[in-house]
Amino acid sequence: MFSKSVYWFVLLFCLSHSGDLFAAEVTQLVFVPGGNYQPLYGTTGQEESVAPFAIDQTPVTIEQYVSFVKKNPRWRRSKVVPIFADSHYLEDWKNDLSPGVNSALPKDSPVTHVSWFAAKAYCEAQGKRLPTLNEWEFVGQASEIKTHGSKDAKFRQRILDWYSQPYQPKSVSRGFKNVYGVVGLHGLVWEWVSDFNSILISGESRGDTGLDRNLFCARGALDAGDVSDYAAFIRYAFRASLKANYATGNLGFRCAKGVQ
Amino acid sequence: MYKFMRHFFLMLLCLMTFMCARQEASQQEHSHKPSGLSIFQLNSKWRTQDNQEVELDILNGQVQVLAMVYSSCENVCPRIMADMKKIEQTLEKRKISSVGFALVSIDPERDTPQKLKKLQNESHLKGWTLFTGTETGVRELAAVLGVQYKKISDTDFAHSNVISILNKRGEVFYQQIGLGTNPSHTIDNIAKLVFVQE
Repeated sequence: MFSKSVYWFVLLFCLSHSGDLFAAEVTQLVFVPGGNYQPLYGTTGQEESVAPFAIDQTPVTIEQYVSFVKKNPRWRRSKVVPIFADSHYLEDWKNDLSPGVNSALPKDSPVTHVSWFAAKAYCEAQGKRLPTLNEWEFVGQASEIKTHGSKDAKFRQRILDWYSQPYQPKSVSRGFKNVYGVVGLHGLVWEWVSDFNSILISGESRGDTGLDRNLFCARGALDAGDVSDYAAFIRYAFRASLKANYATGNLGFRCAKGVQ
Repeated sequence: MYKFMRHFFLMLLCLMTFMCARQEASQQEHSHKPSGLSIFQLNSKWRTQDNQEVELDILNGQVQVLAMVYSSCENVCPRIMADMKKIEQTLEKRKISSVGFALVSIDPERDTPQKLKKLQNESHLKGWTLFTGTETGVRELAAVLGVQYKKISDTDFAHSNVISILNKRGEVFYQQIGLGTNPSHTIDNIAKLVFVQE
């Protein structure tokens, strides 16, 4: 009699912990050596330097995000605070803990419908942080073979082609691997950065108009760099349109970490 | 069978108690839990110009006129403060009181409480609350208010010019965008908030 109860107890105990047994692994970090680069919107004519850093090899997946909300109830859809994530947060999930993965929505596809605050919280829970805009753009310049692939018109066109396709969830392993070994910076999802709100452009982005001078302090110090990099324009414009609690369907993230 | 069921439910009870204890400890609740859209949901730490260690909910309970500036800003920040002072004077004329004025520094590294005190004295900001915090706290507050900013040199920032009006619960109710904007809409919105019973 007693042994039967113990059996049930052990079974229930194990089931309650099954989430932990099948928790998705944390993504590998890739080391990116520092360097200089010309940001699209930076201090006029000046290159900015990026210190060496480490970045997740792939974007955070649905499976990994499920582990996170299991351990952090305040980031479940039913509990999240509106100022941190709007009504579109995880809106395509069946419920708090079930994303409803299937062949059209692979569990190792990038998690989307996550806000900036949610992405930050996920990274902090891993002892990491979001990449800065400069870090993302720096590593995002690279093609499969060149660190400055964005100077290559064919590579830029590939990126524009990706941007023009409707969003289709894909396993993160299907992203292209750049020369640093980072996968899927282009071609999977848009990605949050830690300082997404450091872009000072208005609808009228032709230069320092009178309108600009009233909207922004010292806006005149910033100007567009390589105007032929239209893909970068799209990224910057997209980031400038975001609010911190937005959770849209083709926007995900990956994490980064400083290196000493 | 009956004996087994008794044992089973006893074990189940123990298990459930155990699982409840395992759940993430609920947040320490203040006596007033902030609303879901309130900036007081941010738990960042700040210092005022009087070197008081505070959280943003020090602003709770009063309508606030708030902007993000920095003390070594040469041209534009004085104009934002002038715009805020214009609002302050107009409110006084219309006998609308109990409105707070706040400035938050986007340069926490260089804007110490002492620097803020100096700014307050030199710009005649009597009764205003000035905040300096951490880079993370500043980035989060700016994100929530929709303020854009970027460091462009060791001493300078480019930033958007926004004056936010918060209701008594710390929710953004209205924003005045740009410099030298006619404050009449802002004043009307402040008046609406001041006379709401919360």
